[in-house]
Amino acid sequence: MPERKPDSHSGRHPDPRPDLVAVLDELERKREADGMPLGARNRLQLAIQSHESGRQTRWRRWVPAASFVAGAALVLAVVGSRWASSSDAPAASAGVASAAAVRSPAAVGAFHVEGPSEDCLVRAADDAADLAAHCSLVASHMTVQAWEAATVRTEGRNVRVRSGKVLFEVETVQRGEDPVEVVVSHGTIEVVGTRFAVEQQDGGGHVDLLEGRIRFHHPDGRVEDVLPGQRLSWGEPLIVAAESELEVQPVAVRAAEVAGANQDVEPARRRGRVRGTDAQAAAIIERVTELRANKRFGAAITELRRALRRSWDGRTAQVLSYELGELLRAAEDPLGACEHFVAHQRKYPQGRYASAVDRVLARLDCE
Amino acid sequence: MSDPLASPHAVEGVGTPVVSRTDRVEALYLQHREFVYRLALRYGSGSHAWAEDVAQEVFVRLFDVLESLDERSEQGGMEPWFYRVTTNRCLNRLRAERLRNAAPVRWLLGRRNTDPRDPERVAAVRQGLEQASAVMASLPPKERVAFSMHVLDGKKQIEIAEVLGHSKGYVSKLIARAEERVRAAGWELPDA
Repeated sequence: MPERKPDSHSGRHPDPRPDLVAVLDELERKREADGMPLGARNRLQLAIQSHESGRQTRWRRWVPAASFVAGAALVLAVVGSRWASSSDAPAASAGVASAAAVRSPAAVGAFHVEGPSEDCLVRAADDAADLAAHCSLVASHMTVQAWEAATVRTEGRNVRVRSGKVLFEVETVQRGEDPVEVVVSHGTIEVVGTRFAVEQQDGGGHVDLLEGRIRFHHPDGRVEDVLPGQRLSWGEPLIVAAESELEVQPVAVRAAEVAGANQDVEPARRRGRVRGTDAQAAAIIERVTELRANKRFGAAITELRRALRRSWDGRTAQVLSYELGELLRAAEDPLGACEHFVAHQRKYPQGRYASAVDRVLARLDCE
Repeated sequence: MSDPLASPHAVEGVGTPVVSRTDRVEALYLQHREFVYRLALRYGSGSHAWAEDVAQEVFVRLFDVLESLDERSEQGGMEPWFYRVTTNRCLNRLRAERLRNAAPVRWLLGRRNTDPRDPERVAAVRQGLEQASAVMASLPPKERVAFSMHVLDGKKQIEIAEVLGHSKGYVSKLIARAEERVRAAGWELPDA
């Protein structure tokens, strides 16, 4: 409509500009009044019917082929399982060790030996055993699995680790029973029921607690609690990793301050002690705090992401999630932080950190 | 015709389906064909062949998703589904046509510009509606669809964003650009 365009010199219109919406509305009304042509209606109906019959035909064409494939797969599965059962050695299935583990007739004290081969037990004398890597000593109350070649000695229902890296899985000790003890070069680990890994070398070693609770008895009578996620070392150096950062303010406390309304979030840890209902969460927060203090943001983020995959109560999940967002921000990943905080806000719209997250989103200028 | 929205698993006595798939699609076709066709006609610049193709695609698609639409249809009716699918089909066609009609592609394929001519359009010219249709056809496909949904269907930006699968901010930009082009072509638009 060139005659209706504004005058380029004066900027005025030569005549009133037509209203596009009014014209389009008129066009719509006209099309609505005209309706769908009869021929188009019939053609469309035929097309729909032919499409449906075509669908049914196509489906029927696949039935014989699918039946043949299913039958062939069934025959192969039956033949394969019969062949496997006739050619394999008897496989051990019980215990924490691999389902394909071989149970050896050898025994060390009250424990029997299991492992991927018959050569698990390199030497056994006086209830001591040199275990090959990936082999286990199994008893009803405990499984001792060597991650690498290890030398252990059984002492009744207890175990002494002389060298090597060993994973312990101990059944929960019932009330009235004596706790299981694992003896190392510089003390004794008292176990109530747990999973932990011990590494013992000539000059010292350490224990990493994966689940549950253990106490470390020093030769001088001191007793230290070790919490999940913590490492306690003996010999050189002798430190409890999670207690080495007492000056660092706990993550959960700082998160609570930021939120401003978190009266029920207990301080994660003071003077090396965890106050809270979820010791595992507290241990994770401790570890993240330590990594963060050492500027190891990547490792801290990985730790939190792994933790968030597990199931937590609502309060703990929010604390961990908020801390992950803060870590992403600290790691100078504003896009990742934005994405995470948006997801957090969506998941916990009325959560305890809602106002804090709002402020962070505004500061980051997240869309 | 029985209720087109009745579940095929609805039972009478011992569990015999009341309505077959074909019956349900045909019932929905009778109920919504005019709506789908008119919507397609709008974006096809009045071309009946174009609109018929789009309508056929929409109802064929209905066969594939009929089962999953049961709950939705019971809650809010099928019209929003038809609106969304038809609009997106039209948008896809417009974009494909724009690409095919681009000069380099036409040169490569050795084709002429396929501007649809239709008796409807000829009639529109006679009634002085051709100019409005032409200015709409001159808009880029996304702008054209977003603008039409906004001014003709009265959709809010957030609703348009949901239908087209874009952010509200992007839809807002599309509409603003379309309005700018329309005004530059000498047309008036009501104030927002």
